[in-house]
Amino acid sequence: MSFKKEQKGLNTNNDKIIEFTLIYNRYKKRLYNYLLKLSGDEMITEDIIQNVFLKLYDNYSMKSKNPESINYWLFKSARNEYYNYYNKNKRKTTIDTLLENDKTEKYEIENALELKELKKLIMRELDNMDFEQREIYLLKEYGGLNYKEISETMDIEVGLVKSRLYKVRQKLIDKISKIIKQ
Amino acid sequence: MNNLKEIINNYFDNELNKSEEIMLFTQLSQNEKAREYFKEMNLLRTIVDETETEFPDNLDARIFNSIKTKQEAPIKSYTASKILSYISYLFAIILLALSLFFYSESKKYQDKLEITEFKIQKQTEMIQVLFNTLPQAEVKGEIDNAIIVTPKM
Repeated sequence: MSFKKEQKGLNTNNDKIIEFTLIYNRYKKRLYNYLLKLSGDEMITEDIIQNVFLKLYDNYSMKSKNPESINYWLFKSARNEYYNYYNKNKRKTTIDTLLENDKTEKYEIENALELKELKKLIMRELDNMDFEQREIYLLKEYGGLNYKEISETMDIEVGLVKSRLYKVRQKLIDKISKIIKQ
Repeated sequence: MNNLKEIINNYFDNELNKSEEIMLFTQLSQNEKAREYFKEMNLLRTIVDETETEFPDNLDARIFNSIKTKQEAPIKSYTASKILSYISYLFAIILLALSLFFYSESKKYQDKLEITEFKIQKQTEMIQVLFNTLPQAEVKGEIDNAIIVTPKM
């Protein structure tokens, strides 16, 4: 390998790692939260996140991928990985463990206790919901995907995404309202 | 009201354009139930935002270490392929030396064979010369008809 070729290879590698890091920082938190709420397990979430980002790094080509397709690809791959795992292990989601391990006690409001209760309530309600409804909600709220992206990720109609999302929110609002009014 | 709820949902999902937003806020200023629903949606969003978990730092390190390992792998394989090519060069040189050695050996045998052939030819000639030096043989019959046998060389 000549010096010029080696230099060119290094530059391409550097460009690749820079581009990858930008994408990684943009999507990591959303993907992590989506998977964490979906699986209810930090270890599984971390393993899936690692696999997905390594796959992205391997298949990443700056010319062929645009931000929209990366967004779609990341969530679709993470979802597939999770379902593969889920089908193998048939593990029940445990939101309680998730809440116990929640280290983000960042809110400093007066009704912190109430907010904690509401958080627990929301997570429990989501846990008890239909899988499809819950997943749409997680993709929307934690994944930050738009209606079209959710419909493509889940292979369903945009109208169905909107109606399911509406129903989930309605259920959650009803539950919250009961707590607030008490 | 259901239509308004759908618009409020779209607003929270960033799916409304500017003109629809203006229309929504006009409706909100006039409709108390819609305002109530808007507040509930806002509260739900706040609670959901609070349930977000920070990305673990150790996972960052884990992912980038794996990438680093992947990046080093081609360099290792490049070194391995270089070693492999050196071995093949060495093997080719050995083969070349062996073929040169056998060629020189066969050349020696060829020369020896030529010399032996030459010697045999010389010896044959010598035998002929010796044979010619022998005296002529004369055979005489005892009966009337004389038979003379003369060797022709």
